Amino acid sequence: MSLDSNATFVSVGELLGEELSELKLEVLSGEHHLDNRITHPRVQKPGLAFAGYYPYIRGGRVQIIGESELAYLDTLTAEQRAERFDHITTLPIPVFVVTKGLTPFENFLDLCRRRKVPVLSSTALSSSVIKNISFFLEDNLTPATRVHGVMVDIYGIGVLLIGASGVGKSEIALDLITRGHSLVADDLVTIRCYHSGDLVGFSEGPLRHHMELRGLGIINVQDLFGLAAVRDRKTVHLVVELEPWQEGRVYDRLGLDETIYSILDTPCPYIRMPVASGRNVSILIEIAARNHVLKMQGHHSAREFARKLEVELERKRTKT
Amino acid sequence: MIEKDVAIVNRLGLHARAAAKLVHLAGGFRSQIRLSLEGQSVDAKSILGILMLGAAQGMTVSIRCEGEDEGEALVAIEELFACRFEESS
Repeated sequence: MSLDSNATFVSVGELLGEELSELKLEVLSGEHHLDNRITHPRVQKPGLAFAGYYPYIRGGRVQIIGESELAYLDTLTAEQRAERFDHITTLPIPVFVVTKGLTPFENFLDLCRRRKVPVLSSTALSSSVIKNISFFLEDNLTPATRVHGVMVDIYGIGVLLIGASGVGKSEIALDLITRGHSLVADDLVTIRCYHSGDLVGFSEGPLRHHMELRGLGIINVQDLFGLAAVRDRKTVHLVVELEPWQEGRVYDRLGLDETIYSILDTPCPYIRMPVASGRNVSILIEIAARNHVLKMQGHHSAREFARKLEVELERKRTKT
Repeated sequence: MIEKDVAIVNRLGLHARAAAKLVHLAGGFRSQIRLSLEGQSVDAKSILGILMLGAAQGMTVSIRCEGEDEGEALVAIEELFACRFEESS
């Protein structure tokens, strides 16, 4: 498993890319300072700062100016406005975004230009701008890692298959696809850890929806199996490590205890699955996913069985 | 072939975790090992078999080992029962 953490910043210019095209962002001023760094995934609305309370303006965060801020600024005198603009533009703000296609005050734009803070404008509503930019930043600023493995969505359960090269991860994934499950990523799975604690697996770049099978080469899973056979992203619910069967190694026989695999310091349920000829591993993994669904619904088969047995043994017990 | 009756002394009897320990231990021997209780005989290397027996505290199971390491196997299994499957009661 190779670790390579994500970028710790997003430049203002990246907001103008394809991913946020829906917002139709335009540069009102500061086009020479689009390399300013956004370092925080959450945006802010600087309403209170315009009212004269500045301590909560955090460096590195996108500031969204909407109709309410501009309407409030309108109620101030020109001197008050100038004083607030002067103060706020000295703070370490990477960019302002004005929403709803509104036009900010000319002296504000001038100050921003001089103090190297770009001002962008969007025709979208504040709510959409906030949602889209937050989503974009969250995606690009969250810690990420790349894992050598295959990720499959089985009955809505995101299963990450790991294990040494040649243990048969891709072939097992292919078997699962033919059984109606969908491929998230083959070979390299990018995993991001969101603030919520969710680990989400992706396939990135040209690899997406492709697989490599020894003897066949590279295949396009979506073209071969259809739209339902692929997914772009999926939360990782379960990690299954495949390993060649080793004589004498202790494998879990009961399933009473939960084991954990840590990805980006986040614990994830983990199963070690021995692979041996004659074992249909894809069915075993499908069962593991079904069993996981049961556990999420509060049914723990192994523990329920053990409890029933204990009650039975207690009944039959003769005190000594 | 050797055979011996062993009493179940631990409070919980042959419950799931105890059975897992027994299976693990038995799996380490080449001999065939069988457990019998009340006319039912099961393979000591099969966890579900052992759980099927429903052997509770106070009962006596008969252990039968057959194979090249039958002596060691019997001693080890007897010891596991005697030490209450490493449980506290």
